[in-house]
This record gives sequence, C-alpha cells and structure tokens, in this order.
Amino acid sequence: MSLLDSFGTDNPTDQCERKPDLVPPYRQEAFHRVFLYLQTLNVPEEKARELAREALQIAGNNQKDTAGSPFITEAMRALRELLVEQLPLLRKESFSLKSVSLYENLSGISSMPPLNRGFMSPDAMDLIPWRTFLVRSLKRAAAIVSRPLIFFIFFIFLLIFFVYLTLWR
Amino acid sequence: MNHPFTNAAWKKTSRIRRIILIIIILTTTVVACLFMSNILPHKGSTGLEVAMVLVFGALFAWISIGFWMATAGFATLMRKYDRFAITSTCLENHRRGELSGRTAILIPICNEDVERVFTRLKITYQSLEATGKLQHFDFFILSDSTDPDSWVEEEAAWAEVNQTLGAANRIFYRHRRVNIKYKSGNIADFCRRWGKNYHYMIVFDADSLMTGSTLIRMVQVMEQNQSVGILQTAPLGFNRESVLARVQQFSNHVYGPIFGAGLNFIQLGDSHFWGHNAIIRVAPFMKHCSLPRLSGKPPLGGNILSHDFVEAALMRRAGWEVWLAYDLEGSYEEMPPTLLEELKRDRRWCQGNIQHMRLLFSKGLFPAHRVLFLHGAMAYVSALLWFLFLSLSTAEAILEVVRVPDYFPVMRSLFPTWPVWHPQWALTLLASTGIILFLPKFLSLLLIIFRQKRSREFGGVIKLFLSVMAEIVFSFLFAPIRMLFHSKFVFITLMGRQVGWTSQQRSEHETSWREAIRFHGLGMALGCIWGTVLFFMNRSFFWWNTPIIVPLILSIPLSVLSSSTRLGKFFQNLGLFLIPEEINPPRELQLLQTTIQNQKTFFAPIPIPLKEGFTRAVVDPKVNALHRSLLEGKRKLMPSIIKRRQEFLEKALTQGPKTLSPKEKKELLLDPQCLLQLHERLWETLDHMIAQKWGFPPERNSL
Repeated sequence: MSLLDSFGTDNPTDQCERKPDLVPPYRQEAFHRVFLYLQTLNVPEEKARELAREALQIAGNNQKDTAGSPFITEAMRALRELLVEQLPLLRKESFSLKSVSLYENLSGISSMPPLNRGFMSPDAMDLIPWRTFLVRSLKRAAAIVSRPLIFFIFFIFLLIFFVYLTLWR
Repeated sequence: MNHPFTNAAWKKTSRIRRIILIIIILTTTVVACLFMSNILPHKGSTGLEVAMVLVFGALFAWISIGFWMATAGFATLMRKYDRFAITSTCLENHRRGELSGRTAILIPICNEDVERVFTRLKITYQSLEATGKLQHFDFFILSDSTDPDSWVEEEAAWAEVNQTLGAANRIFYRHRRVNIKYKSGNIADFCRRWGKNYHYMIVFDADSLMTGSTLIRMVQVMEQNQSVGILQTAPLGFNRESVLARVQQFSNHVYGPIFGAGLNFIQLGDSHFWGHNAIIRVAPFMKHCSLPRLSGKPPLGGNILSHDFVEAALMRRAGWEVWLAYDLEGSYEEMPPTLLEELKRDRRWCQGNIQHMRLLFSKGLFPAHRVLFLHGAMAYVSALLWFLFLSLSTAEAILEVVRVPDYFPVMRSLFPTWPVWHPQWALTLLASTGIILFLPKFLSLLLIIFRQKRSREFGGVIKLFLSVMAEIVFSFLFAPIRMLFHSKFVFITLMGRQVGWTSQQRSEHETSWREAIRFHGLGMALGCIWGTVLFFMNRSFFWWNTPIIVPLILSIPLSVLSSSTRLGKFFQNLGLFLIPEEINPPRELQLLQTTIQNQKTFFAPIPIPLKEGFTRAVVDPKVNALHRSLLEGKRKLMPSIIKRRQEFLEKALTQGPKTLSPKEKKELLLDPQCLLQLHERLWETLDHMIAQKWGFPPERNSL
C-alpha cells in the first residue's frame, strides 16, 4: 500500500477505495509533511501513518475554528500536540523510538554531571624571569666582589686590563 | 625480576648520567669544531669563519644530543631490562587487583572532524568495557568548538554514542562558549568543575586511540607510584595512507623505541609531558599546574601556547615526578597527512616553544626542565642556525672566488702562504656528521632484527632494510624544505607576528598543485637563485650543496607527491613502510577500520549532510530538542539582542541557512526560543523553495 493511499480522511474505512487524485493537494501536501516529520523521529511506518491521519483529522476540525490558517500549519500543530501525548506509549513499544525521548523530555537531559566546584589558580611564577635572573646574578656578583680579598684581586685584574688596553696599539 | 626503585636512586643516577652526557657532547663538539676550523680556507682566523665555526658547533652539539640519547636507548633495549622503567614497578599482584581511584578520560576538541573523534571514543570505550573495569572510568568530551555546525554535530554524535553504547552517565559532553587559554584552559575548566570527583585524568588528543588494557595499566602504575604526578606514554603513529605520513609512522615505530628508551635513560623522573596520551594526578595538577598569563603581548607574551612542557615543569617544581612509560604499548596517534599540515602544526609549536624561553630562568624550576625548554626551542632555532650556516658558508665561498688571494698575509715573510684545502678532512667531518645522524637508524634496525626478532612485523628483513634506506632518502629530501619553513617561523615569531590557534586538518586529503605553489614557490625560487649563483661562481661548492639545493628546487612536486594516498598505497603494496599494526592489527584498530568504512554521511530521511549541524538543529526535531535542552538555563536578554536575533531568524526563514554567517548561526543556536520558533515555522512553511533550501526533499518525490 502506497503512503498516498493512507492520507488522513474523516473516514478511514473507505481509504482503500479512494484514489489519490481525488485527495485535495493541500491535504496531500500536509500528509507528506507530517509523515516526513514522523520519519525523522524514527516512528515506525505503520504507526506514523496512523498518527499522520489523526493529525490531519484534528487539523481539519481545528481549521473550521481558525479560518484562514494554512492546513499544513494546522496539521503540524496538531501533530506536535499528539506527539506530546503519545510518545511515552510509543517508546515502550519499540527500541528504535528511544531516541524520541529526547524530543519529549526536554528539560530532563543534561550532558554533564552535577558540578563539584574546585579552584585552580596559578602558583606564583616569575613572569619576567630574565630580569629577576639578571638582578639576582648581579647581586651575587656584587656580594662576591665586595669581599676584601676578592675585591683586591678584581681590582688588580682591572688595572692590568686597563694598562693592556692603553698600551695596545 | 622486577625491583621497585626508590626516589633517591633515580635522582642520583640521573645526575651522573646527565653529567656524562654533557661531557661527551662537549668533547665531540669541540673536536668537530677544530676539524671544521681546519677545513676552512683561513683556518678559522677571519670573523666570518669564527661565526661559521660557532654556528656549526651549536648545530653539531644539537645533533649529538639525539645521537647519544639513541645510543643510550639502544644499550638499554639490548639489555632487555631497565631498572628505571616506570612500568617495571607495577607488580603482578597489583595488576590483578581492583583499581581504587576514579579516572576521567578527557578528549579536548576544537572544530575537529566529529565522526573521527567519536569513532575513536567509541572504540576506546568498548576496549575498556572488555577489560571489565569500565566502572572506574568516565569520558568527557570537552568542546571548544567555535564553528556552529561542529557544535551541533558534536551534540548529536554524543547522543548517538550514548544511545548505541548504553553509556548514559559515563560519557559526558561539555561545550565552552568562550575558549579562554585554548586547550590548557579547556582542561583547567574541567578541573574546576569536576576535577574533585577524580583521582586521575587521562588526556587524549582528537586523533588519539588507546586500548583498554593500556589505560588500566597506566592507572595501576599511578597507584603503585604515589609520587608520580604525570605519566606520559610514547604514542605510535597509525592509520595513515599518504606517503609522508606513512614514512613518519614507520620511522616512529622503528626509531621511536630507542629514542624513547634514551630519553628515559637521561631524564628519568624529570621527563616530558606531550599534552596527550598521558595520565595526570588531578589533585596536584589542580594545585600547582594552573598557567599564568605572561606579561606583554603575543607571540612572546599572553597565554602560554605550548602548555604541556610548562605543566610538567610546574608539577616537578612542586615535587611530583614526571615519567615517560616508553615501553607501554597500545597508545596511538595519527601523523599529519601532508607536509603542509605538518608545517602548520610546527608553526604553532614553534611559537609555543620559543615562548618558553621567557620562562627559562623562572624561580624554582628544575634544571632538567630548563634544559627541556631550551631543547624545545632549539628544535626550531636549529633550523635558523642551519640556514645561517649555509648563508655564511655561501658568503665565504663567493668571497674566496671574488677576493684576490693574499699569499703574504704576514709582513716581511720569506715564503708565501698557499691556500690549502684538505678534502680528506672535509670528508672525515662529513662522514662523522653522517654517522651521528644515521647510526641511530641502523642501531634500531639491528635491534629489531637481531635482539627483538620482530622484522616479520615490518614485512621481513629485506623489506625492513629497504624501508629504512628509503626513509633516509625521504628525510634527506624533506630536511631542507623543513629547514626553510622552520627558519621562517622562528624569524616571524621573533619579529612579533602571532599565529592563530586553528584546528588541525587530520583526515586524509591531498595537497593540490595550486596550494603547493603558494606555499613552496618562494622556497623553490630561493633554491634556483642560490643554485645558479653557486654554479657559476664556485662550481665545487655547488656540488657539495646539491643535497640541499635540489630538494628546495623540487619542493613543489615533493609536497604534492608526498601527500598522495595512491602513492602511499603503492608503497604499501610493495611492502615498504609497513608497521606491525598493518601486518597484525590489534582488535581496536580492526574495529576502527570497519567503522571508518561504514561511515554514513547523511542523516535519513532528509538528505542533510551530517556536517551541516546548524541546518540539522533547525530541521531535525531530535537534534533541535537535544540542542535546546543542552543549553544552560534561561537568560534574561536585552531588548536589542532579542530584536537582533529575531532579524536573524527572519533572514534564515526567508533566505535559507547558507546566507547566515557563522556568527549569526551561533547567535540563533544560543537562543532556545529562537531555535524552537525557527524549527516550528520551517516545518509549517508553505514555500517549497525555502523548504528545499533547508534540505527538504521535493514534496512529490519524498515518499
């Protein structure tokens, strides 16, 4: 049975006898849209047809109250209401419908475990270490040179160096 | 027999080993420098020649480090027993026992190929499940993706994996809206939110794959050694088809073990952290390894880019040990598929490693980690030094031709000084440099054939030998090209130009000729000019330099051909560059291959490509609902923001998803109300043209 044979009508019993070309185009279109929506939700074909028919039926009734609203809009709205009611039941029937729970139970999903806050702050780290290194090295050098004997040797060395520079042509 | 070692023993041993290494390196470098100065026309007496000898010395010392490390690694593996192998501390009775600590497996991603990431996650999960110890592990996909399509795709993949594996409350997904401090910030964010729930965390890269038994073993080693802060494994390359990547994964398998053992021989408890395929003790990491922002502007200031080295140094500074488990198998990663991808990655690493020089003198760091900072920077600076050396030697060669020889450099001399060149000395120096560069490769070969008797895993002795020879040719060909790019990276980093932190293209793809011309054109032109000048001015020097000039001239075809997967498969069919995982693949890699072959690209029944995440979030009711439910709590928005988003919504509905910019898509994805409205209005639309723009099939043909 093609899917067009199972479009939503007021009287489901005579659907096998009706020909597709007798179905109004807006209704066919609405049926296609609703059925496609159900397919994206992995609803099994038979069940999808049944739901689509029902949605179209509700849409037909609703349209009488909300004159001017397009039929597709009404059908989709009716389908959404139906899904909210029926999905918990459908899910029990078929494994493949488990994913549908994602649609139905929106507020219950979280991809993260409950928070258990800790803190992580940087330890003291010298951010311009080369400057500190330079100062530290100079201080060390100064501390060494300030000792009398080393200062004397350093002085003699500087003197020799100066003399060498002066005499060198 | 295994002996657990004490802390004091490794510290003392490492000190002795490092002093010996320094002495050997300095001695060989001084000898090589003396040789070099004797080869030069003026025996190293001119300023130019002094500069050449100095640069040569630095380069020779650099390559000697690798040589002596490999030799040490060879000796260790020949002995077949290493007292200081961290894995040898994990005793048999402990291996059979239960794990006491909880471990989080972290997969930080940023605009990665979602299918690849989740396939690897699934395989690791199943492998862990098979060990029966899954209950001790949780998985976290930590997304920093800025691309709206990737964001939605990741969420959908997470839901699908959870459903397929039945892994609710074991596989988690977190998307960060602002990716402060890149990967290190991503990990730190995890630690702040959930770090207190776990004893250990194992960090993966987007292309990492680890077997369940390896993960268990890592945790066991950590439990056995309470002083270890970080345990790094040595990941092996796998799953590649392009020529270059196959060559690299082959060398990784053949030479990797002796270099790994050598590194461990010298570093012991002061080892590296490479940022992935490693286990970290969470509490000390949270306490001591948070990274500061460096003063000043990027590239040398700002956020620390190569965070792993710094984290290892900080962990060590706090007294925790960092070890390399070089002999632990079952840890894999993928090599970059093309030369250009490798160079793009190197540019980021180069900037990060040069930035480390600012931390070189930081107070409290261990000398070994200061050396690691220097070593990391030298990996790229050495290229600039080589470039400098070539420039100086070319200048010297040209000067020798242009300049009139001075036969009486010393005044009032009776005899002339003839310029004498000793080709035998030059050959000796060349040979010794060759030995330093290539001997480790032959030592690896000997180890595999005679000691480990694993040549069959590489296709047999002859194929293994031929593969090594071919790999040497490849490394000869690519070294000058890499040198030129690395020199450029160092130069532009020092000039203050920053590099973006884009995601890596990890899937197989080939370099187009246009791309190759764009990237290598300048290098080829330089090779041509340099070669022509030398050819006409100093023919003998030209011949000496042909191994560098020719690859530069051929860089464009080399880059394109090396990215070819067809050529890679051709070599594979010849039995070249085979790795043990191809001859006898472990279960995990077999699974990976099967999954890759069965990958779907569209979601049924509406033919929207999986990669178009935003479109799926609008069209697919499941993805739409999932995305909205994963958005954090409701936010009160300013009227201007609501108005702007409403405009984007109308634009999306009237013009289709392709007209929206990533920023506009992201704004809509951040607003659950807008997204629901968009979804409902799209499904209610009467305009078939718009519906088709969103991927709906034509109405009549759809059923």
